[in-house]
Amino acid sequence: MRKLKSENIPLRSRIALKRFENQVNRKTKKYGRYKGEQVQISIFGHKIIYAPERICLYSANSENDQTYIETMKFVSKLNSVSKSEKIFIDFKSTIRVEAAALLMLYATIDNLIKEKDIKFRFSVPKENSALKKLLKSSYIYRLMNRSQIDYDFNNRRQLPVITGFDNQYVDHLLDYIMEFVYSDSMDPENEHTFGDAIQETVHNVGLHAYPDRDDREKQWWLLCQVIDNQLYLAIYDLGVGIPKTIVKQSFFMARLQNVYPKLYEQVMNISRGLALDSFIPYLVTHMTDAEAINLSMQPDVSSRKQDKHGQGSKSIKKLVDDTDGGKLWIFSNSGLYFKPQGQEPGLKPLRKPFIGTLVQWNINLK
Amino acid sequence: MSKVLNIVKDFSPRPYGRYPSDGDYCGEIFRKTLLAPMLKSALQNNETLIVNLDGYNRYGRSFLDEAFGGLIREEGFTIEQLRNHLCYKHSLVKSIPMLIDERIEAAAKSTSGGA
Repeated sequence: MRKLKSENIPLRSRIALKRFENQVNRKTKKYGRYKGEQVQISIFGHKIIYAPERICLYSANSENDQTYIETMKFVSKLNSVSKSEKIFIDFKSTIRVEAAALLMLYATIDNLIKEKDIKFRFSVPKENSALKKLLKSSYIYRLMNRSQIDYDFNNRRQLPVITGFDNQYVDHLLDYIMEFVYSDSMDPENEHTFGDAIQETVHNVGLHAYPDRDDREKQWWLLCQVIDNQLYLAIYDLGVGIPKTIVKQSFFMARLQNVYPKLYEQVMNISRGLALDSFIPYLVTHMTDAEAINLSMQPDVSSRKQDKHGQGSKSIKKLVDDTDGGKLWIFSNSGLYFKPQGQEPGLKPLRKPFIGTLVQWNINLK
Repeated sequence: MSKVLNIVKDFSPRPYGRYPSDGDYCGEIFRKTLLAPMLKSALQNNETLIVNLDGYNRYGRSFLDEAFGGLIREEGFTIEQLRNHLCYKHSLVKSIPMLIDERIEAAAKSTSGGA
């Protein structure tokens, strides 16, 4: 060790003392505490989007709706990417993906590939074999890899997410449910209930979800899965949502009068002589989206010619009321409609808006 | 005397939808091309038209409403004429003729021509 010159000793001592005092002062402080969590933002030129721990929509119906909020934030992040961007979805924290959310995730990715030409890569931890299996069987892997997608309805295996237009694949799907889910024991009455409900739901997508699009652009995504002895049947569209289209339906005022008479009176008071379109903004601020969905699910309340429309809701509700343990969920815009078999529906506002519309039945299998 | 119209054989094995925008086998096309002309002929000849719905169990409500309810709303038949000259049956699914009954009743209430 080199011997210090005697004249440098006080200076060195002062520096050492200062360093020691500084260390003592900062002992309880954290560096970079205002910078937030450090996360990697890109890998191989792909922007990383982290999937949440639970990808789930059903918590929207409970007091703690945090998993719903996290799921919608995740989907919003995906939707906010720029055209032709490369995205890496990291599922390292994800422990559970539930049926309806899986359908929504598939549709979101499918739409981003078509509309924005997004290139996807993804990673799932090796040890999470259940999630790997789910993403594979739903065809999300194939979708992100842009592989050829064909559907095999003549196989007992779980069906992937199916996408189509109008009543495309509806009969194939019903054949599958009859043969493989109900093992050919479904009676003709039940077959009609299922057939009517699914046909009317996809018909409603064509009619109400995409009012300004051509027939070939009225796309839906469907998931039919058996989980824990329950049949989950969910149909999703990326349309404008029920609350936005219901107010333009010919049967709207009759149903409003019958179900929400006070609001009807208010509307009538301000709208004398004005066209319906002119007081839609008033309705939007005085009626929740859940109430609007509830109106869309009401039976005919008048005997007007225009009441022929809006019939699909009866078919959709019938499937729930006629099947053991039936539950109906409808998410659309900022509203949730939830109806268990034989009970009145529950209406709930959503803290974070839903993108598109999802209609789901859960049915107990005997 | 009666005439029989078999939807599956004479129209389509898989009818679907309400309007032509839903496809060629929708309720409106069925009504305009087969159901209404045959019912008119049955009325003129004082016969009964029997619509056999067998062979398909998945009729959607929109198809049935547009086809049968449309007879009153769009074609100008009265509910009495339908009661006297139209018969419909499905041998396995009783709820299908019941649903047609319901849509005909609703159509009759919605028009002044109905009973």
